[in-house]
Amino acid sequence: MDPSGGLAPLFDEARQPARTSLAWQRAALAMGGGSIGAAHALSGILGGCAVLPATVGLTVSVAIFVLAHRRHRTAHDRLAENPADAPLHSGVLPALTAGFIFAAGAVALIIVLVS
Amino acid sequence: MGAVGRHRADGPGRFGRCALTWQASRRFPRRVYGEGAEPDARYSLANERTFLAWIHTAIALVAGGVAIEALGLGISPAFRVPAAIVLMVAGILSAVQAWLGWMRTERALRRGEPLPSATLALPIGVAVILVGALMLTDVLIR
Repeated sequence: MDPSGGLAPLFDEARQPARTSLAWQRAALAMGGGSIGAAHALSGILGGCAVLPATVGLTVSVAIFVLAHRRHRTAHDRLAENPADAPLHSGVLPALTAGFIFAAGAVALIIVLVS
Repeated sequence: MGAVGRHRADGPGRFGRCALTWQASRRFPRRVYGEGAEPDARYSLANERTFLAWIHTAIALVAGGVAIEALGLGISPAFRVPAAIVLMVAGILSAVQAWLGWMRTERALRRGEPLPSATLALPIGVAVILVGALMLTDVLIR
């Protein structure tokens, strides 16, 4: 019988995987909110086209939110099974996130320079 | 399943090395995961949170630049436009620092080397100070 009552063993009392997951959620929410706010602020310059960056930004932020949750679950499961040297995840999600912010900043800069 | 990716403190052995090579070849980026050994997961997770802190900074800086330019805020164009540009550039640099910092730190953790410093922290800080100086100058001149 599982003495833990079926619950996964606690990997880290400091709950680092959960804290990291929450940080990802904050980043995704900030990206989504920032996309909407930026589109609203730039609507005077872009007009109706402001819907496009808002849509793209929201889509990317939702995708990052979902992928980050899966990342957390994968890390949690691996660490619960083998806390010592479990390989975690790759750098794909960080690369996509940094790339999106870089692109968003570059597009915003171009819009400001051109307008 | 549990043996994949695991290594012992005294060396992985032939099977462990093959497993690590397989893992490294499938994880991006290879220049990070292609060498060294798996660090304590808590350090990797802390590195990830540092990366996300830089991302938050980048979002705030870019949003600030957009807000200054798009909303006007009664700021003289001679100060508003440069301030907006500087903030956006600082935001872009923060995103670059986020990725480079994460990559270098993760590689240092795997190699057991000293952690690198945040190379772009100084120029980003200078940029924010510059924007503050521009805003203050606009206020004083009015």
